[in-house]
Amino acid sequence: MRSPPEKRHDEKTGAGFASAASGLDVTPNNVAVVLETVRGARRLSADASASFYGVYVETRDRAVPGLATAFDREFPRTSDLSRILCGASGAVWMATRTRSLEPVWWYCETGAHQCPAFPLLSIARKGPALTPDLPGIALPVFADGGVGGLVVLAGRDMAIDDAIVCDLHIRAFALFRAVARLRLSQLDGTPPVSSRELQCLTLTADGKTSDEIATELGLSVHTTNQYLATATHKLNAMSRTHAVARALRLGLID
Amino acid sequence: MSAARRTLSRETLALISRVETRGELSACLAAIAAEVGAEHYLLLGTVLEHGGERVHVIASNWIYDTIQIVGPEGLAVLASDRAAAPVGEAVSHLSMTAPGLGDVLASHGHVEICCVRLHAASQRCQALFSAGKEDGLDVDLLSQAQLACCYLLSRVSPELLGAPPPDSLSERERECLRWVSEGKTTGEIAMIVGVSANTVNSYLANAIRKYGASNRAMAIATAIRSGAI
Repeated sequence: MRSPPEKRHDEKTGAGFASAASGLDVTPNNVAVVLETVRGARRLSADASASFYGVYVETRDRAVPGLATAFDREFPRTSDLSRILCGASGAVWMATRTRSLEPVWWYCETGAHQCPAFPLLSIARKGPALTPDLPGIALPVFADGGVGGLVVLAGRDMAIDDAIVCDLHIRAFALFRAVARLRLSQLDGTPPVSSRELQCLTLTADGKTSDEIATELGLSVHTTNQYLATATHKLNAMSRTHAVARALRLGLID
Repeated sequence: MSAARRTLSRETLALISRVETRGELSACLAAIAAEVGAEHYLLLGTVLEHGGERVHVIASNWIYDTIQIVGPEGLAVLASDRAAAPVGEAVSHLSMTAPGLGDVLASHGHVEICCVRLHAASQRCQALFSAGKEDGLDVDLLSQAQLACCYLLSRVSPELLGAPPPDSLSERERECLRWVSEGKTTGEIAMIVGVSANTVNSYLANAIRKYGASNRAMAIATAIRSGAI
């Protein structure tokens, strides 16, 4: 039996973080939250007796939709497994993905390593192998505004059952929400969108015209347009519609 | 190392994987409700229809009269409660924003109510668990019940949820919508996709019609919310 090397306990905040290949940028302001999030993931992984863990965010801004690493077991570096997950495996995942929350498990591709606990799970289904050399389980998660992601746990000796998976999944949700918030705060230098601007965006998302928004909020049409223009500018968007899409994806409105 | 957390019983979890019919859905929800100390459950779904929202009951063991008295407006209020906790956050009691509704519900045996947000296929869903007396609900176990309901919704067929076909957009329509959501203009999309601007506009018009949206912005919002793009 392979025992996972426990080498990443050197949680020093230093220059090493600045050049991190991981998707979470560590700054003096968020270092405490980032480390707490990473610790949460490590506890999650320990409770499942997994030897690898990673948190991934679904991305659609590339030519082929796929997964992007938030962080993994090798944090602040990125492991080779994450590169596979963000490459071909992630593309397969996105192509077959639904809005289902069902956990998905897999054996390694060669069949050499199996995890006897998986077939006994009644609330999970078998899916394509995301980590080719390791059996594992992916917990689909969502944050506000429909941002989707995956918490992946893998290992040859994972000890889980239905009840443990439920517990892990709930914690995975909380973890992912923290990750989504961290990514949001990394939008470099974007001034916060005001509540009035968000109100206008929300109503625009509901299909309202400037006239209708003005009436509803008791503003003049000119002011409404002004709010929407500044919101569009702040969100670095090309058009009103683009601004609505960005605000939804960032979870600013829902 | 975390202490052993309380979870739903294995029997209830095993029920989830076997749900296929409406009867089994109700039986499974009843089992989940019983574990959190709730006498009643109400599963609400919100679908977009011709620009408006319609709240409907997916499953419930509420007395028919109660649902009639609450009415569509009352259900809309219950379903619009944005305070409903998403999965992974602590569940708290429903704070009744509409005066009167709480009293009506209490007089019908829903004294303590918890509302949780569910992630489901193509619609916004909420589950309400209620007990007839104060402190009847096991609030700590509610997030487990919430996740169990999410699994349940992931399992059952869309017809059972009374939802419109999950995504009737064609591949081209979806592609054009996606580019609009990236801020591209009609002309740019025409160039990217390799069709004429008129064709792009007609794809977008079709998407707007299918979603019952009133303009592009609303179609984009609907598509993002339903996970189509």
